[in-house]
Amino acid sequence: MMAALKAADPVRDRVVPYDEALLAEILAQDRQAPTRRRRRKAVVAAWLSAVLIPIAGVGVAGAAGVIPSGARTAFPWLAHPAPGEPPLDLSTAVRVMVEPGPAGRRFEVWVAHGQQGYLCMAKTFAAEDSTTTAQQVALPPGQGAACSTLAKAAGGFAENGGADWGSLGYTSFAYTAGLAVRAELHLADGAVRAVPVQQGWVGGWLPKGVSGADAVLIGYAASGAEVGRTVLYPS
Amino acid sequence: MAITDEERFAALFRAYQPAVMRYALRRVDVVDADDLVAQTFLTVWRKLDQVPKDPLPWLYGVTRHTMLDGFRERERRGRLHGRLSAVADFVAPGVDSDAALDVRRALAQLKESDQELLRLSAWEDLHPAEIARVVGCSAATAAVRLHRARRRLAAALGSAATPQPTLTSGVRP
Repeated sequence: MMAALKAADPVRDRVVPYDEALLAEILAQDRQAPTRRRRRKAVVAAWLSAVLIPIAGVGVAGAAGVIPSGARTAFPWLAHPAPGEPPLDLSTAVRVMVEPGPAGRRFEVWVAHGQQGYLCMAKTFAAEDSTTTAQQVALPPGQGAACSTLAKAAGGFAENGGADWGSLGYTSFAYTAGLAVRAELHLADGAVRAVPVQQGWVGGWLPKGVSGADAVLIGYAASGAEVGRTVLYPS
Repeated sequence: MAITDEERFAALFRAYQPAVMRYALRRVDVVDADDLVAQTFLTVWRKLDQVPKDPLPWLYGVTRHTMLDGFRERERRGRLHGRLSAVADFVAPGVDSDAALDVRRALAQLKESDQELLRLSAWEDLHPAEIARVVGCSAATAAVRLHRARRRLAAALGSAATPQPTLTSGVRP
């Protein structure tokens, strides 16, 4: 009977991505206990942000480019979710990071959500003179992807994501940023590189010949405090 | 250096906003759910020092209180639409089976407090101790009430499954 009730969950198939714009709006609110009039204003502001900012967010996502339906090769879980893992919702796929890449390409990180908070990330080196298409997201092979439940993915720095040293000879990596607003990659040889943080993700790539083995990615909060670290991969 | 309140709230929001939104969508319509989530996290932002270590049941409790406050306010203004009992009418487009609709109709026959216990258990996957934190009672009380609510739902499902008399040609009541 409880199984039947569980199956009757009206939102069991609904994807609910989190709303970064609403977060910014709330953080801008006065934290003092409001008077009745102030409370009404705050509620209206919050309501407006809840209604309007997702619309703006759609625009941003649209400008960034939503992966077309052929992206099944980039997100293979769409067509063939692993046992016990829910499929992704293609309509949620957005590009969360764009940085200059190697050999005239762009380094891009794409994220898509699935049911029950499932989240997948895929990295790619897209052609510089192109808009991103499914084929470009899909190539080159070996650039890697990772999936996680949202509870883990949203939990903190580097709790979802991964690093790859793919067939093209480049190390690339992308992780959830958590509280980090900036990050550094400390290479095994002592060199330190700044790593971009965009839209809740931290990621980048290393030139050919530069090893990511034992490199430590460290995230820092706006206050300067270290919020987490992870080793890209061991030697 | 210490983590700031803004950073702490941002982590909380990113981790739990989808769960709170799902909680809201299970109980109110889409427009109200947006409003409810915004109000809930505004409250959380203002009560950040009260957030417990395991925050999800507490967040559901804040959302529930916000929702009930909102309905009380509407009631005072004479605009209560009864959305708390309208869950049976909330149909996710294209995915609901007849069985799911039957279950939600049976659920809607129960009193609201029973509905909430069952939803928290089946849809939010909370244990009785966590449910107790949402609705504000002891864990033992929550467990007993949940047990009784399950029995009432089973009874409601049983009555819903009872075949109704149908009219056929030549047969009239």
